[in-house]
Amino acid sequence: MIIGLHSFKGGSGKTFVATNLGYRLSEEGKKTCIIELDMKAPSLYSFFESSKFVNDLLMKRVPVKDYLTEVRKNLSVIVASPSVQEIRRDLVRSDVESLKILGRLQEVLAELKSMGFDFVILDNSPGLSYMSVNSMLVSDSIFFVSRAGRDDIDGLKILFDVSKSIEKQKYVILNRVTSDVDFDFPIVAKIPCSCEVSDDPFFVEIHKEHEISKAFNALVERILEIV
Amino acid sequence: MRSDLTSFLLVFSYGSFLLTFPNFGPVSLKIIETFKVSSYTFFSYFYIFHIGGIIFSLIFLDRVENRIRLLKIAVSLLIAFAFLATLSYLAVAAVGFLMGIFVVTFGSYFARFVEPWKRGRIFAVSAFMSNIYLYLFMNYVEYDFLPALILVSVAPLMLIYTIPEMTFEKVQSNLNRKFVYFSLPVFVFYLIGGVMYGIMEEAFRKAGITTHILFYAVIIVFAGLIYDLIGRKSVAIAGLLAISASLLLFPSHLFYSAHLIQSSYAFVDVFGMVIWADLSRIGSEAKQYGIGMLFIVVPIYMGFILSSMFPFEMHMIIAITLLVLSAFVIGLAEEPTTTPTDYMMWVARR
Repeated sequence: MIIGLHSFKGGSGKTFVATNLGYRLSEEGKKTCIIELDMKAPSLYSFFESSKFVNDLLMKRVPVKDYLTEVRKNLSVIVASPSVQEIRRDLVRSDVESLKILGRLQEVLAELKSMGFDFVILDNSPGLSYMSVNSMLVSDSIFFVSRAGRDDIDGLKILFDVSKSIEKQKYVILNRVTSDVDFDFPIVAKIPCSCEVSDDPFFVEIHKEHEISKAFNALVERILEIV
Repeated sequence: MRSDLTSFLLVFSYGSFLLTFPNFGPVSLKIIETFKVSSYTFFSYFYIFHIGGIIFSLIFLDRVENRIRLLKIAVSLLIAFAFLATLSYLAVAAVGFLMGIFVVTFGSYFARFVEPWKRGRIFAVSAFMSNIYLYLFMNYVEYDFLPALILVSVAPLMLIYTIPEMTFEKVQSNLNRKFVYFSLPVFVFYLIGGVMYGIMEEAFRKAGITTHILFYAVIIVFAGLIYDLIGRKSVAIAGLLAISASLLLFPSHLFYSAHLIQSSYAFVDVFGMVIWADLSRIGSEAKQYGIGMLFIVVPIYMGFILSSMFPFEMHMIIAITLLVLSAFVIGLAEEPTTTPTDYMMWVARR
């Protein structure tokens, strides 16, 4: 299953959701790969050391296995390059190049499937870009990660509206929730806000009994139901 | 894929008829010879009514949902009036008007149904095939009988009847005002090209230099690919610089000058015929494309009048300065790009 993580605004916690969801799925024995598609503002490189980046993987016909960094049993990541040159290249990418990347992304996902991966999590840049559109097109399910503030909810409405031409299952993961909120969206998880969240990529590994970890457990159950 | 084929048929049938008949094609020359009418009068009728047809379409066509059916009716009338030209050359006025409706219809189809990154090459390949048709017409059609020539000329128009009908959903939208940055250079190119080409062509002919139709046809494919794969502005700038170089080399290096001016037309023809579709917004495509077409047809006609009514040689330095300035204007303009929202719409449609 290919899970696309998107958000309207930056700082909604997509990477936090990607790493912790990936961790929990791998714990369930599901072979999982997280691909960082936010090439404008990469962050996974600071958690996972890698010398090969998704930027190259999507531009060249190279074996996917060379780009996988195994971070624990059943969990691999493919990170985006922090190089300024690569970030600049992504900023000026044209529709034609993006269309080629879409084709290459489909090949990469097919290769991962043939390698036995059960889940691929695509961690996207906020807002709508060519790359995030590509990600929506290849995902089986689209998850919008959002905080519960009014502006975030307005952003969610916009995301649902602009993505209506892509007929995929779409869900919402509310992050940093401080009170019991409810909205007219298909919410699959409410991850509570906590000051204990640190720079560690796998919060759920360290705080197994924390409310956040419980929310991830519920999310994994829900995802396994969807599959 | 269906939209690619439809757009190919639209451009090919339009281009083949235009090149063999009203746009200084062999059928026109035969009509001029038959009725002993001046070419100035004949082409003035065509161009004035063609401009009229474009203006009519840009005003009304966005309101027509079943545009392909309208086009089929227009093509039926076009074929009828083409044959009526055997009785009176004045029929070319109706041909011009209907061709105005045709070009705005295919432009609005391009804008609504053809993916932005394919428009250049689809137009170019269709134009290539139209030029092949013209080449075959000029080299292998040996009839001297006007109705037979007209029959061969209108034959590609019959392809329009094979196009499936579709709905152009009505959407309220405004013009993209950025078209101004692109219209001025296009206008300057066709005006200077039109004025100078008459004079240059005579010099080329006297020197025995001809550029093969297929030279233009091959260059236009190349231009279409650059348009899609590299950028729209680069095609326009290449065309403007090529005509400037052609003027600079005239009359000292006639061979290079002739080929450069042909190349410049190939580049700017692709740019000028596709850019209006790229700038269009859903709902106002006909208006946008029609206005854009006026910036091609009006200067061509002005250039034709200026060069045919009296020998008018533009000052070379002024012409080159205007062209290079136009290239700068294009260079400064923002490249029309597909927004991520549009990209999503196009890719999701596939």
